[in-house]
Amino acid sequence: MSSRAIAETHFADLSDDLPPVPVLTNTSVTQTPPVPLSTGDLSAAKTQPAHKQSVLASTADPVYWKPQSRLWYAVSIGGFLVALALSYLVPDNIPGLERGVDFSTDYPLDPTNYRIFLVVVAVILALLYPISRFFPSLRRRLLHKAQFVCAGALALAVWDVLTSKLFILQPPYFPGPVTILAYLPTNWLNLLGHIGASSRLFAIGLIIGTLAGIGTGILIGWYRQWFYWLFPVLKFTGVVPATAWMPIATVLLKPAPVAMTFLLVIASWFIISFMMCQGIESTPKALYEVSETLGARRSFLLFHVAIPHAMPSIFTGISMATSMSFLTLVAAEMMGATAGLGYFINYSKTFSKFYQVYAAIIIMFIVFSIILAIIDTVRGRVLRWQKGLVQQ
Amino acid sequence: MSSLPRLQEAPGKGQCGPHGQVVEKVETVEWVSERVETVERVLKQVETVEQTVGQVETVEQTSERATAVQDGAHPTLISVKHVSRIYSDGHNGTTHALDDVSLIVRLGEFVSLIGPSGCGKTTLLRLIAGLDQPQSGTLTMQNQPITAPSHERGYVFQQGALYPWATVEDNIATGLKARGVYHAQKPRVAQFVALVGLSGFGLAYPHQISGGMAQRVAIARALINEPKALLLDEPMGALDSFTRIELQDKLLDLWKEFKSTMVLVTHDVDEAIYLSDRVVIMTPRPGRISEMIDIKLGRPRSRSSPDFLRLRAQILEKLHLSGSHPEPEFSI
Repeated sequence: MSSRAIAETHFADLSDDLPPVPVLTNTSVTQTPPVPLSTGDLSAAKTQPAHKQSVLASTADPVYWKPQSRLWYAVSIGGFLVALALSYLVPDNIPGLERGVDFSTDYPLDPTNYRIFLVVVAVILALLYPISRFFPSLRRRLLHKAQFVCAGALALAVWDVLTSKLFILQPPYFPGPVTILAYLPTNWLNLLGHIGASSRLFAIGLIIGTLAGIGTGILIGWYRQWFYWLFPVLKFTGVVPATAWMPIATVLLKPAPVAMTFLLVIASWFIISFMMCQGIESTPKALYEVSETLGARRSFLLFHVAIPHAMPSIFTGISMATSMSFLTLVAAEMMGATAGLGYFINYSKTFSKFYQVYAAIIIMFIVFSIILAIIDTVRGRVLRWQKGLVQQ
Repeated sequence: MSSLPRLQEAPGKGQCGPHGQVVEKVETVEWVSERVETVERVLKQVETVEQTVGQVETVEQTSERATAVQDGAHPTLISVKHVSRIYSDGHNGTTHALDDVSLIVRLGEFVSLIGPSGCGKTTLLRLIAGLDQPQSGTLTMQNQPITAPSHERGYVFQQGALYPWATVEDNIATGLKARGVYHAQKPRVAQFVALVGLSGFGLAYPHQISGGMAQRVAIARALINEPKALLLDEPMGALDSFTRIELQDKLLDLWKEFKSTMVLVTHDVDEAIYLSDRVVIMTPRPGRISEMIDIKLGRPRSRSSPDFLRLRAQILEKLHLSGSHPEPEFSI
């Protein structure tokens, strides 16, 4: 733990707004010795206002508030074993459906990958428990999430039984986890290519859009002339969805990736510059004035007062722009691309291979989650000073 | 002077003749002369007290006197001459925040501006800082006109106005960074953190420290530029009374250490008397200086000494607030 992190933990309970960090672990009234500062106390320091907690809950962890019970953790591992058992025990029953007639001959129904997946997840969960002994906050998080993981395992089991076992939900529109997991490894190289194409386009579009947005945001927020001429334009073009430009972009801009980059750029540009401008404009006058009495020139006011003050707004803008860009990316790829996940979905649909559509959706979920997590991490580092100031 | 000791009846019972002459007993004469001496001594003391305690003088007298000593031991630092500041609210209403105000602040002096809200004391302070410009009149610091804010006039806002995104250290270092001397004078930051008693809090963010600590950061941030004048706009207005007393003493320590001129805006009479060399009383609608009172109490001052309380009553009376305050009692 860095000294800065220690300092933050140390100061967290000095604030007037925050209740003292509870050190009592049970409801008894005897004085417990002070808990030594460890990594685990970091999460305990993230306290919430007292009115949000009941009297009983005030002794519990406000972040990981679910029961910290081993039983639930065991049950969550059990959930995957139950799913595995059902996969073996429930007999396949294909009522009146004929392979090659009702669904294609290459429709994957081999449960091996699904079973391996269940075992791997169960083993990982089982291994994480002893490992988390050395990472108290990870342990708390695992126990907190145990109920959800358990529900997830059961949902998987139900999905499997309803589709690949009983065929109550029928192919080709409702593939089971068995089908999707059986398909994924057979075509992973091709899928990786599509993931790469989408990611590259997304990254280029978002980065250009963000830089352009921050640039125009600063100009509009800082200079009256720019505000006068550009802000109304921004306000009206900003409300038009980027996808509306698609027909024009695809016709005028060649090759296709250029058109799609253009769409992604305008999807992120306006919202980021709008938020940036707003962040600069809402800077309290006192902060400028106090800086001037400290000897600040105008450039210092911009770079050391206005822009730091706008940082939270910029990140709100980037988050919004990211969602908008996902939307635009998939829509654009479906329309005029020759690669990418959106294209892959559209292509799979034309061959009625809906299990490929589901696979692409799952991959999108994973890729976009990773991108959002990266943005969140950067945000957390840049806006470290907000920790404890705002409700997260 | 109701509390002066009265002459008691003489114990010797000297008889006076029909024409006032002393008829008998030398002891009586001795006794009388003894008493006369006592009375003289007491009267002398009273005179001294009257000199020590406030002397009221008009604005003109003060500025004349200030001009007179300008080249002497107390040179003028800031000079405010016939300054008016009118705010219009956009329609047709106007507010005379300041109306023909003149004030001289001498080098090294601790001046307090006091008055009810709307009397223009903050406006005057902002004009001195250069954060605002008057409609008429001139403001100068060491004969240079004040046209814009400068690091030579540090300013401390009521709520501290710390940068929420910067740590205590970074807040204090702002002045050095703004003037481009940060790399040369980096060690001074830690010194100033320690100076205001915040060692160990250098890496804390403003929302993690208390209001009193935040004001100390604000004061250190202004002082690191070693300003000629430190302008304080109700810096202790939002603090509880314990923190306030603590911070007042800290402020006096810093004043002694840096020998900078202090101009304090406050609405707390006790604070003004406790800290200042001179209290400037202002009245609202239009904002004017009504009175200046020199505080000649020795330092450190006691907040409950009879002289202090007498001054307090005097200032409250000038502010027309004395109604509910009983006359302070004191005896010699």
